[in-house]
Amino acid sequence: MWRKVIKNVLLGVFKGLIYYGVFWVLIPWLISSVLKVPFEQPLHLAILILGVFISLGVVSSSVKPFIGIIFSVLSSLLTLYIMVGVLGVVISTSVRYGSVIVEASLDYTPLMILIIGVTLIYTIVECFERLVELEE
Amino acid sequence: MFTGFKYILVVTVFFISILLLLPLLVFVWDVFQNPECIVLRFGNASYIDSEVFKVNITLSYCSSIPLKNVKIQIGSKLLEFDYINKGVVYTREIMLTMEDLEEGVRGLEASIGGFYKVVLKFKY
Repeated sequence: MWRKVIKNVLLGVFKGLIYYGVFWVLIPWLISSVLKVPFEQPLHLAILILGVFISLGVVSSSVKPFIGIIFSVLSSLLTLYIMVGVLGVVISTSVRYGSVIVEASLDYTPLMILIIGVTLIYTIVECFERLVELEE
Repeated sequence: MFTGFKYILVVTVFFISILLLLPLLVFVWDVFQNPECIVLRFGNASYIDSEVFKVNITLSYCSSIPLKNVKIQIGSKLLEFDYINKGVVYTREIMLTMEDLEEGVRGLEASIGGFYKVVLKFKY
């Protein structure tokens, strides 16, 4: 019994860390290094996001599979919120070039549509997978 | 049951991401290698009257990724090009006032490879 609970909690923490690592660390780092523009990610928001991801992961692994689907979907919705609400689809910066200040902004909507689309497809596939497991 | 599909999805996304990022990476690399990647030159100015004059503007570009829907704001005038490619010199004739010339180039808008819209605003 305890072994199963610990296993589920660890699985949930792992899932939460994966979501956090991919959507809060890896993707912003990738966009930031490609465009050579720093992203501002406040520490308190990072801790909050990490906490929410881990909590959703733990709950989704620990509760009955049918209810767990809802929490998995919530994790995906949070990733979509991070993508659209926190990172946005336009990145802007200003640089001084001699006596001129250049304000630059770049719209990377195609890339964001790809990431959001894949997240949605992945979530739907995961839901189907769980439903199939439930039926078996 | 869905594991194979998941792997195929991840691999497909990886390759599509690379294809989508490639124009942006090449453009950023080219611009960082050559900060004067887009060069505007004014020449053959002829006065129409005391305020307005006609000027030939030539534009050259260094990156191998073409720029689409290029709009350059010079004072109150807007200069537009459908496409600009590496190594090609584009010439446009434009009417400018002294005020436009004093204000200089205010901004540039373009789409990198037709995918990523970039907007530059210059403050003097």
